[in-house]
Amino acid sequence: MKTLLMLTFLIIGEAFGCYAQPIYLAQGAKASFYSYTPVEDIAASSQSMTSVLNISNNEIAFNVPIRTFQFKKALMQEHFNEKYIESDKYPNASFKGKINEIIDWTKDGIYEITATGVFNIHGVDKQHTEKGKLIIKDGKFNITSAFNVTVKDHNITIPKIMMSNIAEVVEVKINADYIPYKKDK
Amino acid sequence: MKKIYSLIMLLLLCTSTYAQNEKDSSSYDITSLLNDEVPSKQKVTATFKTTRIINMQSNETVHKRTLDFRVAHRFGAVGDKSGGNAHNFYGFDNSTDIRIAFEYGISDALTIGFSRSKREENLEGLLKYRLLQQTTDNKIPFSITLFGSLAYTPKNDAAGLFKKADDSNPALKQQLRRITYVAQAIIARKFSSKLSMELVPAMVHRNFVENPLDDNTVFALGVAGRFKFTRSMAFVADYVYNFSDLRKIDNNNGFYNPLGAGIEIETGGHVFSIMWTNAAGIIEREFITNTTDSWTKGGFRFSFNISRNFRL
Repeated sequence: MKTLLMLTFLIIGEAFGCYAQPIYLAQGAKASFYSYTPVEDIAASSQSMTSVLNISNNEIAFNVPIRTFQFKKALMQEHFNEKYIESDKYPNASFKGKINEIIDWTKDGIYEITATGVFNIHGVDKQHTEKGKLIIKDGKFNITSAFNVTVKDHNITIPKIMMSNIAEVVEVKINADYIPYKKDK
Repeated sequence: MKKIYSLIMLLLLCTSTYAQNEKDSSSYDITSLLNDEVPSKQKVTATFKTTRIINMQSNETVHKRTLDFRVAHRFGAVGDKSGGNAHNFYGFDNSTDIRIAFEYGISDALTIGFSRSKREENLEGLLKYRLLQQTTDNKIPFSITLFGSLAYTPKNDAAGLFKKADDSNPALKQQLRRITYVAQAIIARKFSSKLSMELVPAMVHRNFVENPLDDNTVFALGVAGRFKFTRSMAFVADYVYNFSDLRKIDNNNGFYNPLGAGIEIETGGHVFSIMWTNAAGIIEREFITNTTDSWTKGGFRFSFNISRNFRL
């Protein structure tokens, strides 16, 4: 009888385990970018990035509304939205791809990972494979990455007069904390 | 026997649930899931490029801790019926108004400003407050900004215009008669990255009016638009309709509604507006209530506004 009871518990426990959602969500994640030139350093950051991660097939997607990037200078922010990224037409920047490594998502640790997929900004897609770091702790995940984006690749034109102020290659950094996704919040 | 039976059951159950799980996970569309979660509501910015269209206020305020230094000119009328000719280079030699202003953003929503104009020697203090901002999800379909100003004319009163025989406190009364107030609500919408428009119900109250037929308080409705045709150039136009009886065009009292049209060029921290308008004065109390030139009589003039932003 005792063994039967134990087995019942085991079955229930196992069943719950099997049904656990493989989807994880990060909200209010950080995205920032840096443009360094001898004339001027420009930095902007957003705390409004969203990311979805599917641990059963390693799919990962990011989306950040362009308008949420905050600059130190308000006029610069206006020019970024109005003249360069045209956020009325292209309101978001996104990445959709896959984490290449096989990861035991149940094991705590720090993992060096790479992701391959399509990065989109200013309405232009560009294939990327980028390095990142994954931290697994107590069933929660943190992913950080830093990568470079070439302004020209995305048809973002910089007027000649501003060429010395804006870098051709912009460094992008992301930082996202994931928790299990619940459909009805 | 029972034990073995249970174990088999357990194994069966778990394999079946694993199988189910695999099927479910591949059917997740993470892109649509992501799109559901991305915040869609953002504030619409840069409805207009600067705080003025031509004559009228736009809904824009000066950015926080930024000083907007503004210089505006209205030259003489172009047409010969309104005084323009080859000898004054069709109005270029006669400036009807020059305004120099400092406008400062205390916050992104609140602007204070001070200006001095040539016309009537007007000294003006102004306040502008962004009440409502349009959002991208259209839950708030338009932006509303409130504008208020007070203008004082220190001009020489040799004719005794501001004096009245029966004044009980003549010194104070004479000063008060030099003051004019303006209140406006600017209702604007950015229809696309190219097109923005606004409606502006306005009130001008003058403590003293020369013409006994004139009302102290005059109501008007302004309409303005901006159409961007390159990433730094736009067509701009504005028009103000006066509800005052004295200023109805059919009444032929020599008053006209101000109409302006021109081009706006933005270069970094500068905004240049180059335009033609029949309004001779620059501030509200002048162009709304004192426009006496008519486009049809050649009474339009070359004008410009320059705005330079300094971050303090």
